[in-house]
Amino acid sequence: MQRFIIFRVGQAIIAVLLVSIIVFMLSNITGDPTSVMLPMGEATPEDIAALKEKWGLDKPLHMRYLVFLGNAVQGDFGESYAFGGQTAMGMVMDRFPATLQLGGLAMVIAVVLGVPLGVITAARKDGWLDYQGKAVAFLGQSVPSFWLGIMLLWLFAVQLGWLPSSGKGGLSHMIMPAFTLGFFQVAALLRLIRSSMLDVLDTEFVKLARIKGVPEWKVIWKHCLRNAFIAPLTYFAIIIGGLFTGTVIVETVFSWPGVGQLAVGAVRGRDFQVLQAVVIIGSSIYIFANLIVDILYAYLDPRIRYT
Amino acid sequence: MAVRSIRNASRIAAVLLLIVFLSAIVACGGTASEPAAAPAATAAPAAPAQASATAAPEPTAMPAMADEDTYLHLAVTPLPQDTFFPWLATSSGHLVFRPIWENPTTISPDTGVSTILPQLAREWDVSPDASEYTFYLQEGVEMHFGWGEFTVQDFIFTVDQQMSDPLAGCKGPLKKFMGYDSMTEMIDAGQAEVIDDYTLKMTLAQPQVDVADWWFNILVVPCAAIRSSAQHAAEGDAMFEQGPAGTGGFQFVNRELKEYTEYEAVPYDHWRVNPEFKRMRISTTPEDLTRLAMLLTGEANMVDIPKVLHQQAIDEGMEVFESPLPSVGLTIMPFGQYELSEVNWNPDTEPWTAAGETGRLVREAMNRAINREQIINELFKGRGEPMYNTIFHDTLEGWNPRWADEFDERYGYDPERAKELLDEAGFPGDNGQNRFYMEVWQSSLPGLPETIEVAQTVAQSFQDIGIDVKLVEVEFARALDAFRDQHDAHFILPVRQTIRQINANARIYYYTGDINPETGLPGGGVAYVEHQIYDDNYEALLRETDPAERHRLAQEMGDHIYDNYRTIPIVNVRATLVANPEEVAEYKFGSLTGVFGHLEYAKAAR
Repeated sequence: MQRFIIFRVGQAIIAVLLVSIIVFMLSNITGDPTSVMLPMGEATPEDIAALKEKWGLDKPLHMRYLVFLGNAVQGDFGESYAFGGQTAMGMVMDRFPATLQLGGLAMVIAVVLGVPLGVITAARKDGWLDYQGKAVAFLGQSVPSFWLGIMLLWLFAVQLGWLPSSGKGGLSHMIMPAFTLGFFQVAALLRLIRSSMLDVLDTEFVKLARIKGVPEWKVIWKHCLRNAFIAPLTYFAIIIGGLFTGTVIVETVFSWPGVGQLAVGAVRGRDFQVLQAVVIIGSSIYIFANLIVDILYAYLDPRIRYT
Repeated sequence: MAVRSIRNASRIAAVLLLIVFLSAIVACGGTASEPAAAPAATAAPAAPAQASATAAPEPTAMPAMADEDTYLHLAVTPLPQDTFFPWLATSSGHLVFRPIWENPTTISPDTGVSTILPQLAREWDVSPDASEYTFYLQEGVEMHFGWGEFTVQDFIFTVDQQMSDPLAGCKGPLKKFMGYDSMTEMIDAGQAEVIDDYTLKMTLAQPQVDVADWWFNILVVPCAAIRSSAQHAAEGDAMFEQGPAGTGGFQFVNRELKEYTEYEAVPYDHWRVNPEFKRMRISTTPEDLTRLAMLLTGEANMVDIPKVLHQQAIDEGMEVFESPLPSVGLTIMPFGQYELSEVNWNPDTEPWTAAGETGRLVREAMNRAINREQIINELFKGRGEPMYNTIFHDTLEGWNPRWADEFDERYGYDPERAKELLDEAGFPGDNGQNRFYMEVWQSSLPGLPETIEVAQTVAQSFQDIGIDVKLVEVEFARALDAFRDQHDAHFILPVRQTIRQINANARIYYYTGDINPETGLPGGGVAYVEHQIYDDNYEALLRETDPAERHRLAQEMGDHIYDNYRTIPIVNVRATLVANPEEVAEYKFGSLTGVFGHLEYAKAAR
């Protein structure tokens, strides 16, 4: 187990390193941030040169990357180009709680809706409920989140006036963005649980339980569901990553002041420092979540350690 | 086997429960209250250490929030750069600072930049050769939060701060005419003199006529948006986060970067205007439909939305407020006309850049290929007026009425004539196709979302007259690199044009200047298009104070641009805001490139 964990941690570190190289290179080859930052037609060549020196943009790309990496491992992603006086890490951390709140509620919605629906549709295979569940899964995975967000906004904020349209406030502000964010995961979980449940429902021990007269609800919700959970567990790592990256669109539609909206602004303004911080922190969360699930999976199913 | 399975299942269930539990805690924990409730600027510090010449009273605490009925909530697109520090903000970014600060001069929404009006400078003298300025400042103007009266020290501090950072838009041009890195240095060198608390005399390093008009104007550029030197002496740069004091009709309450800024009307009789709205909030909301929803739900009462959404708002009883004058124009620039510097000039492969008759014929053909009426009616929903000459307008000096009178005849849509012109220019192509290769770049511009469709329409129009066009989608910053940093642009690009004084725009669009020996690039402005006449006339305009001669110089430049089809002018557009008429009765605003000024004059409906 120890060897397995060390191996997986090593892989995770390499993955983060590769992400940092890709992000750094891609953001830098899009152009020179001084073009956007400096006032058009007003900055002198001396101003441009001074700024490049201040930000280290006068150095070769590989040297800049090494400096960047050295600082990044200490949590220092530099000062935002676009937000004077703010550190990139500070800006991400300021907005992280908002994204975490949204992602957290979206996950609750995904689990609370996705799991029961998955179980019910499997238990009522080819019945009316199953078809409804399949429709939900189909919609959840095919409807773009920006469209869903705008439709919800139009219905519940503009037409019905039940919920606020945008911004951050109490729980009512979170409902629409969290549902938009979680709806895709509801569909994904539903399909996974349904499929996994169908496998379990077809096993010998379930038949035996039924023959022995165990009540059907107990067979489904206790014996089958427990055994059907292993496969969806892996998916939780993907959900966590998806909730983080999915906020880019949802936060923009609902004007939710989180990391996603920060990332969009950073892309528009060529704020490399902030962009790099967002992407590297986001992908690190994704990789870390996968690592945890891998370890959990190995803990739950020892066969994994030896493959 | 069964026992192990159950044990595993218990572990999984526990893990899942833990995940859901943690998610619930994260989601529900710390749900924020309405951010509006935190008035950060209230906690005023002790009396300033370095006060201005007039005795500063103890800063007063900010009053409680005023009448809920007069609350103005303006929702706009996100600012291009958001910062607490005014010297780092772009002109558009100054939207959130403008309600709290005033400048030495201002403009009226009705007359725009053609008439410069006094604001914190009650008057100013300019020597006949435009090398000496004396500013006489308003007396008895209060700084917010009790930071004393506005004096010349605040003016000096503001200019110094604006020039303190290479990122500051004002540093370069101010240094050019002041001749020093700061106003304080200028004073120390004896080139500027503080006559008294309300009078400042400056002797410029080089004559320049537009100092008061341009560089010290509230709506034009933010180089002299006056803040309190006394507050800065006491609090340092932290004042910009905690609550910067200014002299405007609104004072700062609270700000969350990239989200909103809140204000309240000053709790005393303002020297110029007492805003009818007692509280105000400017929110930045990225999605157009969300801003419309905010208006329709009553969360905001005035929003900036694209013209295609106006009708929907009008159908719901909303009203569109339009700026009296156009605020922004769209012009298509045929880049690469570098015939003066000859840097990166390729007239053989890019015939629209050629000097003389060939280039003129090609550019006339390009102009005649475009159906401007269709663009204005369909892409701008009729809310635009034709632009007859890039950077010129009938409210500005240099205007020549013949440009409008002859426009249909000389620039009107006529694709057949355009083909003939290309034949005449020596580009018959293969049976009228593949005459020459050209790239049309398209990119989104803040404040003018129609730019993309215009680029696509233009590309199709050029294709229709036989030019081999490649449409390239780019980030605007990439185009900026090409034409600004490298002076190496070889494409056709729609650019946004702010209606500003001729000097200012001529410098950006047409002034080449001397070639920098180190970089080998022109040292003038951006110089989209080069010619000796433009350089000569621009330099003369900087010094010339006689209005008739200024008019002649500007018009000569304009005539040359017009007669040689140096650009492809398209449309001037008025800025619009959509408001709930039950809450906002009237808002007459001056606007430059998405900046909405004069918010203190907005009238409440109740």
